[in-house]
Amino acid sequence: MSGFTPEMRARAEKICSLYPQVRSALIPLCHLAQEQAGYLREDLMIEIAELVGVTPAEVYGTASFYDMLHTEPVGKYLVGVCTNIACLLQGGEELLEHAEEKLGVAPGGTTEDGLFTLEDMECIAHCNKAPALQVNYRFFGPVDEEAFDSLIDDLREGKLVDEVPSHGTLIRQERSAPIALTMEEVLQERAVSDAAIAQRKAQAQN
Amino acid sequence: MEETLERTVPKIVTSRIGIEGSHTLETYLTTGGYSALRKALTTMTPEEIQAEVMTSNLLGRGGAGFEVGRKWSMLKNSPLRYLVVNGDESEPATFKDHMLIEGDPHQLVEGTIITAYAVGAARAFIYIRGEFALGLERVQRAIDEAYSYGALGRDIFGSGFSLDLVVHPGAGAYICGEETALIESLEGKRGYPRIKPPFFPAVIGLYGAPTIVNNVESMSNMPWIVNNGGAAFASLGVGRSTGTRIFALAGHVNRPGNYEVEMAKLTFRDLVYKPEYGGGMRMGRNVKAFIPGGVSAPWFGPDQLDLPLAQDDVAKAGSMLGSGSIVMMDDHTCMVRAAWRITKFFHRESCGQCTPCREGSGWIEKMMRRIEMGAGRESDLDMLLDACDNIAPGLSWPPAQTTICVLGPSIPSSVVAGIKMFRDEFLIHIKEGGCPYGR
Amino acid sequence: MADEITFILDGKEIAAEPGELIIAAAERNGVYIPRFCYHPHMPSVGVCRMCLVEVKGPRGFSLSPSCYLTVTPGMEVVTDSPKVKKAQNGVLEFLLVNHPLDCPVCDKGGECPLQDQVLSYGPGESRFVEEKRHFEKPIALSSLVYLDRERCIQCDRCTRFASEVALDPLIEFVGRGDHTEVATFPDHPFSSYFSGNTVQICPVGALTAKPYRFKARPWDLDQSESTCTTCSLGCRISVQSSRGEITRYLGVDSEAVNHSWLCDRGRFGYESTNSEHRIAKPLLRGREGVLEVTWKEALTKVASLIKDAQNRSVPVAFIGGSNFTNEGIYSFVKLAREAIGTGSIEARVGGDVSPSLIFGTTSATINQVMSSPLIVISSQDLKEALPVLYLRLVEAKRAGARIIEISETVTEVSKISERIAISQLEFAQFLEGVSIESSAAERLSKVLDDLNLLDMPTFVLGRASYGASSNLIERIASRLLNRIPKLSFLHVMGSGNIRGAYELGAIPGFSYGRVTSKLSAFGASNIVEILELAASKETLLFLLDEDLNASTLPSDLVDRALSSSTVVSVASLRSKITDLAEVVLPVVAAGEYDGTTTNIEGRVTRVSARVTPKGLSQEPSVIANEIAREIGIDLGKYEPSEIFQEIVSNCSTFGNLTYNMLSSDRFADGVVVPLSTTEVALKARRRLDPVATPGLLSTEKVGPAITYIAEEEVTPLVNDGSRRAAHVNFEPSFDLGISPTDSGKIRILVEKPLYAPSAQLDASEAMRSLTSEAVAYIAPDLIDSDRVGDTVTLRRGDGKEVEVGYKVDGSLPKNTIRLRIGANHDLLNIVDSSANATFVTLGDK
Ligand SMILES: Cc1cc2nc3c(=O)[nH]c(=O)nc-3n(C[C@H](O)[C@H](O)[C@H](O)COP(=O)(O)O)c2cc1C
Ligand code: SF4
Ligand code: FES
Repeated sequence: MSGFTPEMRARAEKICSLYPQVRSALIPLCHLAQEQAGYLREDLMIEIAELVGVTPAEVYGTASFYDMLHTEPVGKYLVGVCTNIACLLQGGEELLEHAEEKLGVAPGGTTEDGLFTLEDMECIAHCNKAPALQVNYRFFGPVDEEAFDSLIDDLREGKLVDEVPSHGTLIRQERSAPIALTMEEVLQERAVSDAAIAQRKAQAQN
Repeated sequence: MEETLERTVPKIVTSRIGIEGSHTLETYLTTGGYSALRKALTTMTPEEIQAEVMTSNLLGRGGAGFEVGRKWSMLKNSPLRYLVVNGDESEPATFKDHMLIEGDPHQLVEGTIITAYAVGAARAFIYIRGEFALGLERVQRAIDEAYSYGALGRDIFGSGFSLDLVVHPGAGAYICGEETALIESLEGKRGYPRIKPPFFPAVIGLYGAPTIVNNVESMSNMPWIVNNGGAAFASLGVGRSTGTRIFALAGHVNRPGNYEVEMAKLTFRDLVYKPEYGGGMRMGRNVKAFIPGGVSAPWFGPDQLDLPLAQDDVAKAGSMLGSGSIVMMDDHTCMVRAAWRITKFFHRESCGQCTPCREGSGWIEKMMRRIEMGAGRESDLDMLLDACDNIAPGLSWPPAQTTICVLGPSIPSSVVAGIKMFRDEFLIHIKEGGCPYGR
Repeated sequence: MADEITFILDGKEIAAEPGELIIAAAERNGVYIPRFCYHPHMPSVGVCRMCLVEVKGPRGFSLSPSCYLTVTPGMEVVTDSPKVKKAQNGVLEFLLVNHPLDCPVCDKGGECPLQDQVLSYGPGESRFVEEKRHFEKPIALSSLVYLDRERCIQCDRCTRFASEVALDPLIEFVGRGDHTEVATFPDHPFSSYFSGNTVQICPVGALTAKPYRFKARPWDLDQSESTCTTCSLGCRISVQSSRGEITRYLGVDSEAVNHSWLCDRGRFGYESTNSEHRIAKPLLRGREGVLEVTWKEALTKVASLIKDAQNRSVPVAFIGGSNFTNEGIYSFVKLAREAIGTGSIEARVGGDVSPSLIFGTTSATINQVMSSPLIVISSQDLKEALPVLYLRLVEAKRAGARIIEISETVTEVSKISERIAISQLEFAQFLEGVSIESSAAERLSKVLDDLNLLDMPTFVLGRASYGASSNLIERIASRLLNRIPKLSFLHVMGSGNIRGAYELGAIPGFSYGRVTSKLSAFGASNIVEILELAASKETLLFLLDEDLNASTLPSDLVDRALSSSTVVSVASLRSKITDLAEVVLPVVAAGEYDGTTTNIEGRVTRVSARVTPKGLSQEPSVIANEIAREIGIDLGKYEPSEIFQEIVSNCSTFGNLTYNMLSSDRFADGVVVPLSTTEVALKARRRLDPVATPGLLSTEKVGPAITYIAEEEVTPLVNDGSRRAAHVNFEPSFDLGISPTDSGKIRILVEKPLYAPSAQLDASEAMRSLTSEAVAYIAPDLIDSDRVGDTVTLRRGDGKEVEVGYKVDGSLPKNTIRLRIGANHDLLNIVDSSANATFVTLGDK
């Protein structure tokens, strides 16, 4: 257990190159780490710290601010039931209670087989499909008790592998276009672009 | 996301929603995509674009409703400036940006590039809340396609203008929608809002450089404004509320959904009851109360249903259009519970930086829960109001605040409205030791 | 002040400095605005919201954080309206929502700003009936600092201190909202040199220092203001005691020196004063071993040793003394030079520079350096040598100073500086016109030119390595002066009162008052020569509270010298030396004596006795006087104040200073000698802010930190040049050269870390475990990547060798090894500190 796999490391370095200041890559790299290990394992936080030039404490402190970043292991499927106002009005609380019964865990808990972690979520912006939920940040809704049960069963049986990839928001989001200009070049280019604009202005006046 | 949308009013930002493959470059190009960018870069100066946007009087769609053109004009001059697009959409019951991000990512990308050109941004970022996994994928793909189409990267469309655009994932924190917290988050830090004044992002923003932060919907308006002109935009709507706007209608209506409508021309009642929009209240029940602009906004009662969907009218009536979310609650709703759930949200989402918000949100939630569960005391109501007053002194609207950012004074909105509008219902909870609605 | 502005505070027009925060301007004008997160020496964050005041803006008055907004001309501020009061009440009530009401058992109880402010500004009674959050009881953030998370009010002071003041972001806020807590990364403790400051600035009892926990209650504390003499920076401290034991040190907000900060080594060093390692009684080595004896017996023995030595022309030498007060050093100098007649008295155990460099050049003050727009440094890592000076550098950097570090190794200062990566030897060569690597030369020229343009150019200079002679920096200083005639120097020096030792003549060749004196008959002119003498010939050696085994001297030389001479050890702590001494005379330790001390700038400050000396231990001046008396000579004065007056009359550098003056309000931060016209004017001393420096105000209720004497009662300080120090020419020695054949060899640099082993560290219970390990950092080119084993053998030309643990350090130049002194003291045996450089071979290469 030590750090990113070579492919992940390569992706991580690529992400680092997207920002004028590399610390900006911290959160994306945390997503990557979760994609690899399911959660923010300590060795991965240490590697992220090294990649973005901060201390492991800073990675930990920053990551712990965000609900999606887990510093403790979670299940293969994160089932997040929204109970915020729009879903509440349409039975979100009841759905969460049903989910607790079905999975046998309270929010925050993970099923014994390690498959599911149940979460009580704030609004996921799917309110027109209330009550709504997410599994590994893929949307479902409206979900009634029956729909919930069959969703869980499908997940258990591995029927939804395409719809619900393993977690890590970035799993299917890999940038292909490299950054075209370094920040130094931007400043140079700006001069070129400003010249072009000035020329257009002059033409407009003629 | 397929949506139910009115087809007769002008479609400025939702014209492609519902079309098969609306998120692809192919569809985008066949429906006029990137023509505005080409026009902007090859025939207009940044000042001209800024002037058009100023003329359009487009009000920011993120919540504060500040004129987009005016914000741009306040950007401090500096060789390095940034543009950050706010796609954090986490205000409860708001789901319009979600639709735009997944349904028309190229429009967002095009609007962003136009804006970057107009404000002279050295690099642009689209910050999207981490929970929008599909949205992140689609915007990334749109960006990649835009690069290969020549709309991003070096010398865009031969105009001499170059730009890199990066989509950045959030990781689950409502406060990161607040523009300065968003900047901190984008810098790889905890999402702590910065204190303003003295410095606003337009002076000191991302990496200390002047920065423009605009909402996804605000950006998505840009291609249309460039193509049709600011005056055309301003000719829609009434007064300061120009153009069209998406309203996210949720709660106890028959047809919850996103509706792009001309501003100020319809009332809340129209939106809720007209068959092409909300189609009326669920099961034909009556409106007990509604939230006109996201859970940060004070509630309205049925009396206010006839207010127009206009920023200033709503403000005058004591609330706000905010994020464009409207939550309808019917007469079977427990208002204590509704208010408690909203305080629970703020309690969970307070960044924890400043004392009144960090501690006040938890205290108020605990009191509200106690009342909802039937363990309240009559004196709790005044205590609640006083605790709220210590966060938003005066309890007036727009609120004063003892906190750093306006998440703080959002906490009292629903509590104060709840107690003011439904004091009896609170007292029943207290006297009967529980909820009359069965919980 | 010329550019002062005015604003309206509570209806009155008052003056402020441009850029001053409302809270600070109000405070200077007598209006105290309550606060928790604000600290005058940290960037404001404005998070606790306790300091809200009404400020008039374009839309009327609104509540604004006075710690965050700067005063603008004409600004209207209201601090006492009902609105402000209500907001303050509200904040306090909110803070108590999750804060336990366990004041009676809390270490902070009685000196707690939260407790105090709830009493002064808070709501009458608690309306809070909900449950508070709970955490497991206190957790250790490090071996020195404990955290009680329930008490934390999230003011961001400790975390901000760690990340922005100390640049050690090892503690962070974790979690969000009211679940926010301070934490380290798992198994990465808060191992900062400065961790104790977080305890001092915590406005509640959340952070506690292990050595202080449960030791005392604030109302039992007595205190005296004093100076820390752990290193030669001279941080001002408040020494606090309870029931006759020192219980803690707090940093005092001294404008001139430490800005309220201390390093942990200084802060917790008092544990050695209380420790069981103390020598309580005189010891005498007899046939039956070591015996505790009376002072009379011990002194008789010492006198007979002296007489015997004098009779037989055996050399007598005194080594050490830099941990003594000025008065202690002066007394021993008189004993040595006048009563015994030896010039072999040497306090420069760390091999500091020649007196002519100190006396013959202008000294810069710390504030002069820090207020300069360009700070240039060539020395060892300042964080290791003078830790709080490093904090001042960080602060200067934040204020916009440009810092240039001339150093071939990456140091902690490199974090905040532009580093020119050349050795001091190359620097000297550059200054002498020898060509060095061209880009470095170019940058250096530019920096020196920039420096030359300043009105008051300064330079921070010290030895970069103990593996090279200190003559190197004399050479650098002399060439710099040729180039920049106005240049003044801040000299990086060794321990405690070393600067005082120069002024008072505890160095061969100069007696007190900068008066040249002949070397003794035996001709030893520095520590190495004295030890060589002792090793080669019978010698009577007085060791003045000096742990030679903790120095940077080769242990074989020390051992040879000690074993072949008769040793009289004046010591406060047991060590290898006291074990082999003929006579051990117990001397007082920090916190037990009065007097004065001198820091690297030449700043003379008061040190104060807080507790009665352990056992029979005596002040050094008393010991010197008694020894003299025993051999029939009367040195005169015993009282520190009287000795000080004698020093003043004998040393013209001290001008017309008086002992009283140093206890006055105006000169509480000391006076720089020689009296200088260039000292940056000090601001009036900041009132001891109970929240900036908790504990001081509360204990002031018991007794003030220092008995301030009103200025009128003090003789004015005269600086008319009438008592100018004798002029000393700076005469650098240029006899060093490095031959071209050396260039391919492996050069070693030697550095002494803050936690280098010493008897004092060993006697400090909480810090003992921090003692450094010896490590050789090796340039990558010197080591095979597939090498097995964790140690290397370093061998010198003459065959001496040591084995030491190693690490590869990619930042080192080729062919270099950086040796960090640690528990393995033999390491220094391969070091040749009299040459320009020490060269070795790697045993197995
Ligand atoms: C607590 C809080 C949350 C916010 N969340 C969002 C959000 O999710 N999306 C958004 O666009 N603006 C949000 N805002 C508003 C932004 O701070 C900012 O005003 C907006 O992004 C500016 O864009 P606009 O001018 O285009 O509206 C939020 C503000 C606050 C105080
Ligand atoms: S501590 Fe301050 S100073 Fe800070 S906000 Fe609070 S009130 Fe201000
Ligand atoms: S933390 Fe900012 S308002 Fe609460």
